[in-house]
Amino acid sequence: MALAVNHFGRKYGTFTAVEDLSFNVASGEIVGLIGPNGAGKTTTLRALAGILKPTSGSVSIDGHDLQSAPLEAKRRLAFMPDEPTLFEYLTVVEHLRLIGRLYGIGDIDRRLRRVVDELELTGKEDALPGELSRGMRQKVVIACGLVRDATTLLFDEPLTGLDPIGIRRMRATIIGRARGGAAVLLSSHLLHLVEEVCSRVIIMDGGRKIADGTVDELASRADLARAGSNLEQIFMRVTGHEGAESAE
Amino acid sequence: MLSATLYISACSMRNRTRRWFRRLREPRYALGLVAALAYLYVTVFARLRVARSAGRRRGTVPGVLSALPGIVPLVAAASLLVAAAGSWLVPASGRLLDFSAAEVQFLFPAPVHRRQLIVHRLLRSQVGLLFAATIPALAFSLPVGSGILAVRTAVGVWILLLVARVYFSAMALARANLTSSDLRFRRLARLPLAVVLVAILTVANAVVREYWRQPFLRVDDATTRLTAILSTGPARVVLWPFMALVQPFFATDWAEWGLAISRGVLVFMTTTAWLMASDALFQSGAAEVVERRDAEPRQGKVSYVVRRSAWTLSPTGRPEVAFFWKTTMQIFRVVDRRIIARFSVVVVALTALVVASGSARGVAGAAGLFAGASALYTALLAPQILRLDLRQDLQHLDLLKTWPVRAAAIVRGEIGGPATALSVVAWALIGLALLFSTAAFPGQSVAWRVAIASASVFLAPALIFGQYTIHNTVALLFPAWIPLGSGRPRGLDAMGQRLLTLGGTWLALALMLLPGAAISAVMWFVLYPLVGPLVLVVAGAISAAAIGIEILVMTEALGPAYERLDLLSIERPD
Repeated sequence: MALAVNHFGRKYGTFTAVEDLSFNVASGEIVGLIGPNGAGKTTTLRALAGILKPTSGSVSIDGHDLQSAPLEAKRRLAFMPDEPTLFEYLTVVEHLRLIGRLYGIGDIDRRLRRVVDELELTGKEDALPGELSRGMRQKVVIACGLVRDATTLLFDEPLTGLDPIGIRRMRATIIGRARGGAAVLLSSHLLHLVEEVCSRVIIMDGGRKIADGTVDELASRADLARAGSNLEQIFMRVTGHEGAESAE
Repeated sequence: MLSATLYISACSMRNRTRRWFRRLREPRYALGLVAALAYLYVTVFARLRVARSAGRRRGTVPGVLSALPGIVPLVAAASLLVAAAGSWLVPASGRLLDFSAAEVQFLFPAPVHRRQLIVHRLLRSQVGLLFAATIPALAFSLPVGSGILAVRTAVGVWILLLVARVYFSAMALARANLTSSDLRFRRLARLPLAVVLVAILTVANAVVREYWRQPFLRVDDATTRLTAILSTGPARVVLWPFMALVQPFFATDWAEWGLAISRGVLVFMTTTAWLMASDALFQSGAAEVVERRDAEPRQGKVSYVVRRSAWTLSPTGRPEVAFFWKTTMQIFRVVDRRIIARFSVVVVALTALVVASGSARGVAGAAGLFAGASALYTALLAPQILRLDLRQDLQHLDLLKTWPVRAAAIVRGEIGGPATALSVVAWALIGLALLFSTAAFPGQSVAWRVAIASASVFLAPALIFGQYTIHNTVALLFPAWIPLGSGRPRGLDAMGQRLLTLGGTWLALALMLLPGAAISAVMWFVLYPLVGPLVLVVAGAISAAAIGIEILVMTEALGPAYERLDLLSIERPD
């Protein structure tokens, strides 16, 4: 299994952000991680990326435990956060070169050219982050993740700030990477995107996993059968917002 | 609008106070507050008590600068005039129109006049101005007088700062409209420029005519004649507003001070009236204000420009080099004038101190002392200022943590860049000091001077790398004590916290130096009789090697601390 999460939990002081979360993502699979605000999605993704330390449970990437063998695990992982964090003094190409050096990518020149073309960053190679729009900076962060052959890709709201063409391309990129054998975990509030590209969906609420399966599997679940057949209806039902929606 | 301003001020003050008290529940801030209060007591209040008793004995309260000769206020007033005129060439914004993002979002679309917005900004800036006025007032008044004098000086400085802020803001508005296509705006903008030009030409004309009549031969002759021409005729008239602003510092009694302050208030009201009259200019330039605000880097944020470099990072090699390269790029691209200004001010002050207390002979001597003082400053204090290491990069911790790099390599890489840069600067300064050492230190023999310089070549980088290691160790072990980036948490407690951190760093550095110093002391006793001053070079090299080993051990030991480090423990600037 490319990504294995076992009984993962994370607390902030006395507040429990995520509790007893377990799931797997196989190679070639795209799994959507959805939930209302404060459900614990970003905490989960940041812990899977090695940024936050789990307070309980374990995470392994391609069989390498993130706690006991962090370097091996991180080498196989690419995390694309929703907030583009870049070094204000490095250009687009220099960010990619830095990643190339840190991850030991020999043919970085060829790869960076490819990813710059793929994400339509051509012409912006020598720009500093301060000269780029929010969407462009988001593309640079994604480029840093895609410039190497990571086996596990974590996307947190990958479409934020992108224009319609960028959204279309990004969708194709995510699907293309999964077809190439990567395990993809995608967190987004855009339920139609999740429904369209993900082969499986995990729904979180209040720090816990409350549903896990394909959209069809969820729709056929006894307790969700009345909800409807699309992901938005299922989401509303499973998170207890169905009544609120109909009241509106 | 006034009620809205008062509401915003009251709410922000209340929330800030609440947050401050909440912050004080944390031991680091409570400790910081105790340290800051102790520091303030020693540096201000204890001196205030001594000064008060001295003032009581004297029975009078003279002005802070009242003992200076009569030419000084005239020169000060003329300098203000030059600054006022010069600001048209090298513009200063006055910061009165630097609206915050929230102010732009909430107040600009509100149905209020632009002049009300200016009054709003003026009122909102008062707390900062009062604080800015108090510090120099205490610094200059306490050594020569009482607490009352400090209050008098603070009021004078406050009015001076108020006028400066309003003037520069009005000037910025006028300057932007000098070439406006609207004739009314153009006239409104050019009138003050004409007034300032006439004023400066009047003063210059008076001085030049006097000089042509008879050149100034001696200092006392020049002083007497300049005093006469600047305090009479047209020069006196044009200098009057500027004299009104400097007179409070030269007043010898309460009556004179009160008169001077009332004149200053009059100047402030006139300048404010000019700013209000520029309301039309502000109306036209409001959009520009917003655009400029968006384009300029936020206060406390550093801006960068791309500069080509010949160094392209190779795809393979040690990760430390990647960090070193990253920092090098940052240093070459940084446009933070504040760092350069702070660095220059401290170096110049140190040099002045050295020159004043030493026996510098001529330009070469002064240059030697300057280089020596700068090298000392670079080795001992610059690592505190040049924070291009983990103290800044902890802001990017969420990025660093995703990289497959050993913690020790990250720490060494983060330290390597700024420490190497400062070491190169220190070596250059040591070289200069050695070059001019004959004039600067004539009492020392060539052998001693060369030995000291050579030992410094080893010691300076060791001290710099050592300090960076300590700073970065503190950043990893006690991240909450380290404010990130260029921003700083404000308040007495934060100031005390910084004092404690600085004291702790120097204590740690002293401990770090101990092994090398002990070995060097032994070498001194053994080798000095045999090799003379050369022993300093050997001792310097051994001390540097000892510190180097300590750095390696410390960085290797920091791995678990880095792994444990959590984003929540990091201090975000206010």
